[in-house]
Amino acid sequence: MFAYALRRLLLAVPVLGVISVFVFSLLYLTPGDPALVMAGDQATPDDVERIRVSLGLDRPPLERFGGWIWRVLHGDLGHSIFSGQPVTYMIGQRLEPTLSILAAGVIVSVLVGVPVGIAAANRRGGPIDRTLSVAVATSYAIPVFVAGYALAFVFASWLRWLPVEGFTPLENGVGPYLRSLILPALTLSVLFTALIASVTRASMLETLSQDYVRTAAAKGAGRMRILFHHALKNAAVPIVTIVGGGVATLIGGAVVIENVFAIPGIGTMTVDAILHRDYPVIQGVVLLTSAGYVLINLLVDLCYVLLDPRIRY
Amino acid sequence: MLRRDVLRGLVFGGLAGAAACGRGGASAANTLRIIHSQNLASLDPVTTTEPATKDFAFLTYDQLVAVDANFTPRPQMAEGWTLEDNGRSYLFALRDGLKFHDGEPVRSQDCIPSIRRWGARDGFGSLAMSFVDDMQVVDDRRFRIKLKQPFALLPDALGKATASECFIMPERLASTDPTKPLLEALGSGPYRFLKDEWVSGSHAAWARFDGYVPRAEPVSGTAGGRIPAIGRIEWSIISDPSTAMAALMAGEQDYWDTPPAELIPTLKGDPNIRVASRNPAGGYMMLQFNHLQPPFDNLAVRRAVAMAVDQRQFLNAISNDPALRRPCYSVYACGTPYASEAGADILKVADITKARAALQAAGYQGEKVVLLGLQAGPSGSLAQVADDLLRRMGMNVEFVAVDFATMAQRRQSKAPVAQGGWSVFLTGWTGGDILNPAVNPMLRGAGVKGFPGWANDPQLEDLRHQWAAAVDPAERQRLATAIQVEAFSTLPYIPLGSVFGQVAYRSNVTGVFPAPVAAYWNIGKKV
Amino acid sequence: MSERTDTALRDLVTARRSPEVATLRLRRARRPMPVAWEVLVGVGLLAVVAALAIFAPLITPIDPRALALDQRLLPPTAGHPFGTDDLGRDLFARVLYGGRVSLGVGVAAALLSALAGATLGLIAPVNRALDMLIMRIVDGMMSIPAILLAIALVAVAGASVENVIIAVTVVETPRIARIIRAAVLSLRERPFIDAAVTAGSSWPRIILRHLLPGVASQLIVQTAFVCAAAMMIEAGLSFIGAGTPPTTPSWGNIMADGRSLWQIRPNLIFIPAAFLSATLIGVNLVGDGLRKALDPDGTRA
Repeated sequence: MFAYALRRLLLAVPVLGVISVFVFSLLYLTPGDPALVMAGDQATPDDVERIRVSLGLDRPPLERFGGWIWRVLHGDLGHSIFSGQPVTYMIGQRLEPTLSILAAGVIVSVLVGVPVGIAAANRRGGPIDRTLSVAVATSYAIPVFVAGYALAFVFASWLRWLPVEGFTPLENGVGPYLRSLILPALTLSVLFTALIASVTRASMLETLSQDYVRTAAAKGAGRMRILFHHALKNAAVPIVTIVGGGVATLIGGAVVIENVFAIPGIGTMTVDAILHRDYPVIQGVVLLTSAGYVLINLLVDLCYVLLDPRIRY
Repeated sequence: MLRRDVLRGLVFGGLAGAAACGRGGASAANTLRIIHSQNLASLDPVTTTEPATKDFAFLTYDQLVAVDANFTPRPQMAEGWTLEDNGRSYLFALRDGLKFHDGEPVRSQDCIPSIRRWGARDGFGSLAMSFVDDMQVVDDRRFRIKLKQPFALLPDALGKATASECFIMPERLASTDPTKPLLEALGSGPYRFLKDEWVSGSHAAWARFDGYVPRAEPVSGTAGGRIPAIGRIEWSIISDPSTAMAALMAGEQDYWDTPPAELIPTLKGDPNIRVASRNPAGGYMMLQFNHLQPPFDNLAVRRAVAMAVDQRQFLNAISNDPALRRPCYSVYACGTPYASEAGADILKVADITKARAALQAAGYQGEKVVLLGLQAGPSGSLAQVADDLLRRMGMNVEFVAVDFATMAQRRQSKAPVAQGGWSVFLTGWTGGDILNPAVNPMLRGAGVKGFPGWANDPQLEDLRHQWAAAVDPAERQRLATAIQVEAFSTLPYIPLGSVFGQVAYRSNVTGVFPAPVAAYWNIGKKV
Repeated sequence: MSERTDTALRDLVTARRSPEVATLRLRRARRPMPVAWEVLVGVGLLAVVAALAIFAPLITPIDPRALALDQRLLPPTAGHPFGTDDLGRDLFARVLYGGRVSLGVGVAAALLSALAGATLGLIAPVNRALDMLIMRIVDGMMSIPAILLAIALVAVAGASVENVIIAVTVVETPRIARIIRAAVLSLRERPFIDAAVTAGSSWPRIILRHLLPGVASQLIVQTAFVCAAAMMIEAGLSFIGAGTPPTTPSWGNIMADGRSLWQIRPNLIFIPAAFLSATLIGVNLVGDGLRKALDPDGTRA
C-alpha cells in the first residue's frame, strides 16, 4: 500500500506540471496588465513602463515561467503584486475560513444525508424515499446565492440568531467561531445533502440485496444490526468517493458563498486576484488547490482499504 | 454507531454553547467598525490612487498642509509658512511634538524626500515641482523651498485633498523609488496601522496613536484638529450591498461608507440609523472621447453628442432623489470658486432630434463606435445609459463590457476600433479632482502625451500654463473661465453632472463631519 | 479520481455481483418500458419555458433593452407584470428574452461538451500513451475549481455570450470525457468488440460502429446534466460579475443586477431564480428519467 501511495504521488507531478503550464499560458494571454492597474489613472506611460520593469513583467515568458518554477521548488510562491505580501502568507491567512466552511458543509451534509439515505433505502418507495427524490431534483436547481440570501434573511436579519456576515477565527472562541460558520455551512450543504442522501440510498439498496445480508436476516439479525453493522460499512465506499469528488464542486459553491457572507476565504481572494491580474497569487492558489485535490483523492482511495477489506493495493 | 453519535453530540453541544456566548468581545464598545466597500490592496498612496489606499493614508499619515471646508490651504503639521524673496521662496516650520508611530520625531529631513517622492508621481505635484529650484533643510524643524519663479499655488498643491495627496513619511520610506510600491506603513497620523491584522480583501485595523498631538482648532474639511476619538478602528470589506445593509441594521457594523442610492430610503426608515451627506464636493461623471480615431476625432460629431446629453436624465440612473443629483454645466466642481456656466450653452440643448440632425450634418457615415463600460456597478449602469443615448442618436454602437483591469489596458490603445481600440468611455472623479485646471487630468490638450483620450488643443495647454504661473487671484479667475470656454468649444470631454454620495451610521456614532475625503478622525461612539 | 473509484461508481447500482439478479433484470428489460414520469414532467416544464423564450416577441411588445429612467424599480403593475429593474427596463420582457440566452448557453455548452468529451473519451483508450496523455490533461483541468477556471477564461477572452459558452464547455468537457472513457474501457472487454478486432476492423470503424452506440445512452444522460450545470455556472459567473455582458439579459445577469436590492425589490432576484430553477428541475428530471429508461442496468457512473 505504501508503494501504491508513492506511485500515486509521483503520477501527480505531471498533472501539476500540466496545470502550471496551462495557468501560466492563460495569464500570459489575458489582456489587462497589473502594472497598469497599479499605476492608476494619472500615470504616464513612462511610469507604467518603470513599474512593469520593476515587477519583472518585461522579461520573456519562458524566463518568467522558469523563474517561477525554480522558486516554487524552493517553497517560494512569490509575492502579491499589489500588497507585496508573500503568497504563502496570504493563502495561510485565508485557509482557515475556507477549510472551515468546507469541512462544516461536508459534515452537515453527511450527518443529515446519510441517515436520510438509509431511511429511504429502508422503506423503498415509502414517504421518505419519495420526498428524497423530489428534494434531490430541487436542490440541484437552487442557485447558491439565492439559498444564501434566503437563509441569511431568515436566521440573521429576521430572527437575529446568527451573524449576517463575517468569520470569527477559532482563536477568538469556539462559540463565536461555530456561530459564524453555521449559515455558510448550511447554504453549502443545500447543494450536497441531497446528493449524499441519494448516493447512500442507492448504495444501501445494492448492498441490501446481497446474499450475505439475506443470510444474516435468515439467521435472525435485527433490522438495525443489518442496516448499520453489515450494510453501511460496505455501502460506504461510493459515499466516500462522492465526498472526495464533491470537494471540487463545493469549492465553486464556496466562492459564491464567501462573496455573499463576506467571508475572507481563498475563493474571494482568487476572484479578486483574477480581476486585478495579480499573477503570483493566481498561480499560487491554482497550484495549491490542485495539489490539495490530488491529495484528497489519494486519501479517499486509501480510505477504501479501511472500509472494504477486499480492496488491496 | 457510537462514533457517529459522539460526533453528533459534540456538534450539538458546541452549538448550544455558541448560542450562549455573544458575538465579539468586550472591546466592541471601543471599536469603530466600518463597512468599507473598496478593498485595501496597496499601502502606498504615492504609487496608487485607489480610494481605499487614500482612506488608509489619511488615518495612518499626516499632511504638512490641509485644505479646509472652502478648499483654502491651512497649516496642519506645519506651524505655518512664510513667503520670502518676493514669493520665490517658502520657509516652512513644523509644529512641536510631532512623532512617528515608532516614537521618532518628525524632522525636515523626512519632509523633503516625502514631497519629492509625491511630486514625482502626482499631476499637481509634478506641476509644482516644475516650479521648484531646490529644497533645503534649515534645521530639524524648518526647511526652505526655493522656486524658479513665483508659484502661489504651492500650499494648495501640498494640501490638496484628492489623490494623490502629499503625506509625510519617514526619510527611509520616502527615499524609495516612486515607482516601487511601499510595503510597510509608518506614519505620524492619529491612528497606527496594525499590519499584522491586515487581510487584503477582508479586513484591516488601526489603534489610536497616543503620541499624536492634534491641532487646537475645530475640524473644517481636512484641516483642524484630527483627534483620534476612539481606541480602535476596524474596516470590514463587504462588497455585497445587501449583506452590508443587513450587517449595519443588525448592529454588527457601525458605519457604511458607500451605501447605494436605492437602499438609502430603507436605511432612513430604521430609527437606529442616520444618513448624512459628508462630501460636499460630490462625484462628477464624464464622457471621455478618443480624439485620435473616427468618429470622435471630428469636432462636429462631438458637439452633436453634447447636444444629445441631458444631464438630468443621466443622473437619474444613479439616484432618484433630486436632492442628491445636481446638473453641473461647468468643467469645475459646481459650488467651487471657478465654477460658472460660461460657454456651456451647448450642454443645455438636451434635444435628441437636434442632435441627430447635427450628427448627419457632421458627416457621420455609420462608423462603428466602441463604448467601453464596466460590467457591474454604478459606472456600468451609466455606460448602459450612454449606450442607449448614442443609439437613439443613430450611431452604430458596440457596448464592450470589461472588468477594470481590461479597461485600464484597453483604453491605452490608440489603435483603430477594428483593431481593439475604443471610441468612448465613462469615468468619474470627485469634486476635489476637478477643482482647478491643475488637478483635472482630462482638462488638457496635450495630445498623445496626455490622459487616454488624447485631446489635442494647444490653446488649452497654453491657457493652463498661464493660469499656473499667474500670481494674482483675479487673473487666475479670468484664465480659469477662459479655459472653460475653450474646453466647451473644442470638447475634450463632456461633463455629465454631479451626484452626492451619502454615508450611513448607527445613531450612537458621534462626531461625523463634512469633509471631501473619508476622514475617520474626530468620530467616536457613545455607549 | 482513480480507476478504482470510477469502477466503484459504476458498480453502484449494477447488480453485477449477483448473476441471478442480472438475469432477472435482463428478462424484465425485454418488456416494453413505460416512460418514466420524470421524463414527462421534465419535458413539460422545459417545453413551457422554451416556448416563453422563443415566442417572447409575440408575448410582449416591450424591448428588453429599452431604458426608462423615470420608471426605475417599480413593483409589479399592470403595465409591467414583473416590475422594472434599476434602469427602468421591463422585467417581464427581460426574463423572457433572458431565457433565450440562458437556455442557449445551456444547450450550446452541453452539445459542445458532449462532442468534445465523447471524442476524447472514445479515442483515449485506443493506445496506452495517448490514454496517459489525455487523462493527465483531463485530470489537470478537473482539479482546477470550475468557477475559477471559467472566470479566468472569460477574463482572457472578454465578456460575451459566446465566450461564456466556451468557458463552460472547457470546464465540463473533462467530466464527460472521463465518464465516456470509463464506459469504453468496460465495453472493450465485451466479446463483440473482441470479435470485431479479430475480424480485422480498423479502430476508427470499431469506435464509430460499435463503441459509440454502446456509450450513446450514457452520453445522452450526461449531456442533460451538463446542460443543467452550464446554466448554473452562467448564473454564478454573472453573479460574481464575470459573465454575460449587462445589456443583453440572461437570468444570471438579471439576478446580478438586482442583488443589492433584493430586500426592497425581491422580485428582481426571485423571479429569474424561479425560472432558472424550473428549467433546472426540468432538465434534471429529464436526465434522471432518461437514465432509468435507457440504462437500467447498464454502465452507469
